[in-house]
Amino acid sequence: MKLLAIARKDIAHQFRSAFALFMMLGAPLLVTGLMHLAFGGAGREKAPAAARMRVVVADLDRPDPRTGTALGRLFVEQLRSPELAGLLEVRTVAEEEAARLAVDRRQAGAAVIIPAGFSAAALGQGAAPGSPVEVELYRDPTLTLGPALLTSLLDSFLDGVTGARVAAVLAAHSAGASGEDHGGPSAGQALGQAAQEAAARYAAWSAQAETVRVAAPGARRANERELQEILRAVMASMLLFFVFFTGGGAAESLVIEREQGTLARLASTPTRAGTILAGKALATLLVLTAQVVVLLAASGMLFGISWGRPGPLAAATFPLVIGAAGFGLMLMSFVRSSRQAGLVLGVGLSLTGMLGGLFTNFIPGLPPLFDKVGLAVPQGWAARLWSLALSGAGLREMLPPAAVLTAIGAACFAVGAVLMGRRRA
Amino acid sequence: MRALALMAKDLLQILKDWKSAVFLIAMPLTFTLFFGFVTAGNFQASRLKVGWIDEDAASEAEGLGQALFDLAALNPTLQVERLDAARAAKAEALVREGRFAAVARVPAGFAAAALGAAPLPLQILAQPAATEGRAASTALRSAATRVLGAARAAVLSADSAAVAHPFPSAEARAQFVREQLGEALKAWGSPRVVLRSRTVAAVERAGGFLQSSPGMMVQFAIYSLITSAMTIVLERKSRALRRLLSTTLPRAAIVGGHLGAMFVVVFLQQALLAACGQWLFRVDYLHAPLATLLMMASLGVWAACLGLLIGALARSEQHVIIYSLAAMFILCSLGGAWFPLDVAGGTFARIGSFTPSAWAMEGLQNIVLRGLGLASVLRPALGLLACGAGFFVLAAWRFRFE
Repeated sequence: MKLLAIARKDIAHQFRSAFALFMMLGAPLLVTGLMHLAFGGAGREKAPAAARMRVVVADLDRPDPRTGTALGRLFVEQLRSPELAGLLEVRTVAEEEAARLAVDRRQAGAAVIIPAGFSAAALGQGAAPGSPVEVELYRDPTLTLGPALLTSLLDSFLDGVTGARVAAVLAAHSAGASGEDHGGPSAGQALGQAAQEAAARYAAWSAQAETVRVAAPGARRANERELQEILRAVMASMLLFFVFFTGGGAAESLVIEREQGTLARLASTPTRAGTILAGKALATLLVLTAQVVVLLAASGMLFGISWGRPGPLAAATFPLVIGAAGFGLMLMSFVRSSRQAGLVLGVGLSLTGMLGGLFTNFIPGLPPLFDKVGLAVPQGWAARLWSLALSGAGLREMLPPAAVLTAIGAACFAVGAVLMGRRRA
Repeated sequence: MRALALMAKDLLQILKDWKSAVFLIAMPLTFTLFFGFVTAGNFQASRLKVGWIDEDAASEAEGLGQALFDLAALNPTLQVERLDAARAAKAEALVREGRFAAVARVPAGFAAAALGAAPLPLQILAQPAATEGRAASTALRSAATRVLGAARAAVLSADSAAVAHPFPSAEARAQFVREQLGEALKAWGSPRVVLRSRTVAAVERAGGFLQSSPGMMVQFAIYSLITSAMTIVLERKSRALRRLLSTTLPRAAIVGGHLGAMFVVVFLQQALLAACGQWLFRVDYLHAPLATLLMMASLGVWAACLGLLIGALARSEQHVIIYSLAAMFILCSLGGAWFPLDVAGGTFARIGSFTPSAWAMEGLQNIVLRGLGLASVLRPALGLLACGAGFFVLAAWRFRFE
């Protein structure tokens, strides 16, 4: 009964503190809310459009002398198509330097410079020039999405042009090789016609052909939108970070009670030290569990985040709570005063959270070393466990990181309890 | 003069506390180093791991599957690895766990379909939310387009040859198509038009800290307010502010002294971070020293006024932490210190562009990312100073000495 009384007192103390409530619930929901505003929200069908990017095009190209096709103009028309009107604002200039200057002066996010002779080089059937003709994309280094879209459009356009030319050249050669050798203009016209037909058929084919099909792992998540994945990942990271923070904050109460003398007064009662510690540990576990449940529910309601099946979540929550409580107790056991506690909590948890990947799970292509370094701290194991839980992994797959995190938590708790006991003595 | 003495007292109080060195210097440097190391620059150098599963045995005879594999493997951004049967069965788990950026699967019948009427697409398993998954998918799409395009060109070539000289048999046509396929793949290997992507020279020379350095300068200018504003709150609680009122020191001088100390703390922090950025992280702040100085000063004024406002509004140390953290979260996300605003929705980006943190980022990025000079930072600096003036007026109105 004393154990429960101690636990009840600590729980009430936690939930009456505005600061504790802010760090437990307010901060993670605030950060995720900002991400929700930024990226459009997972619950709505249509995410807000990204900001329109201004593009300047310097089309120095002239029509191909043989076919009269002006590929540069075709590309500019593609950029100005209604489908891209919401994403790109296109204007043309006469000179390439003017285009680059517009980007340097932040009047445009990117400049496309189509060189003179582009059409002739792209459509030419003769011997290849010494080096390929370059279409230049000059971009604002602070922008990402817009230039990436332009790059994709340009790659696709150039692939189409190259493919059509290859088809035309092969068709012309095979028509010339297999047909009767008339020579003269009519033979040339026939070859040219064969080439144009092949190019046109290739262009029609490439406009509707599906060359790749991309699917996300996990059939039940096939229909989920990318934005929801981002939000869920952000919320999961914030949940993990602030659960560890709350674990440390709960253990800080031991330091404060020691300073205020209430711990010594408690020890003077017939209550055993083990009961006191167990009561406080129980309070911490319950507070952390409640924090996880409230954050999952609140984020689901506020931001429409779908967390998946409750089974894996529950399986991921228990080790997390153990790990956070134990790690927090161990951190606080090194602290001599409450003034040091703020530093240890703020700096220590920020650094270990960073190492554990809680701030970097969106960053692509991290060196494999970072994955390994992350496993040196409990937050890294928590991140791995929750990543598996959220991506639909089975319980068998989750078992190793869950076991490791639980063991780390238990070991940290044991170390923390011993050190705390020595300080009390 | 006494205001200066008060300022000096505050500075001494802050600097004598060793914890200040951790919050003001060590943490921002560590975050800058960490985020700079993992973002841009470095991750582009490391290749994306892609798993490869070929379910089309027939394609081996046509060479299409091998050609597709070779093209993907030649891509400098990809590291392609064939998966054996055991790992192929766990492809989803491999992608989910991040061991592979993507797994490509050549479906059965791929070669036959490519040389027929409707090609089968290359199947790619990748995380759509992960940029590495998207990058790997884009690279694989390019390879698939080339190979399938080459196959289509070979078929069109056969059609063209057959017009004047029909093939005697299906095998003869198939042989002709295979020969043309080889020619087409060779032609794709030497495109006549290519894309060249460039940005400003300063960025192309520099490393991966161009986003993290200015971003962390803005973030920790706000975070450091915890230290500065805490001084005011503690003085109010201990009634030191009230005792100062009993002196001949004017109220304006008391407020000014505290404000001056906050400015000096933020300015010195900015200077140290800029120096580390310049000499440790190759971020060129010094190519426009006056511009950098102006941005540091205006950022310091704005942050100091915000700190004064927090100190005026907060009733306890915990309030200081809550207000400072909330300000940091909101302003850093809206201002583009954490991620570029262009990846956010249009409305969010438009709102964010009106925040002082966005102006600070714009000014600093004009210097280090765009290689611009003093003229480019005048507008952001004026915006910061105007906003700081607004915060000061609010703080002066709400400031309580007891």
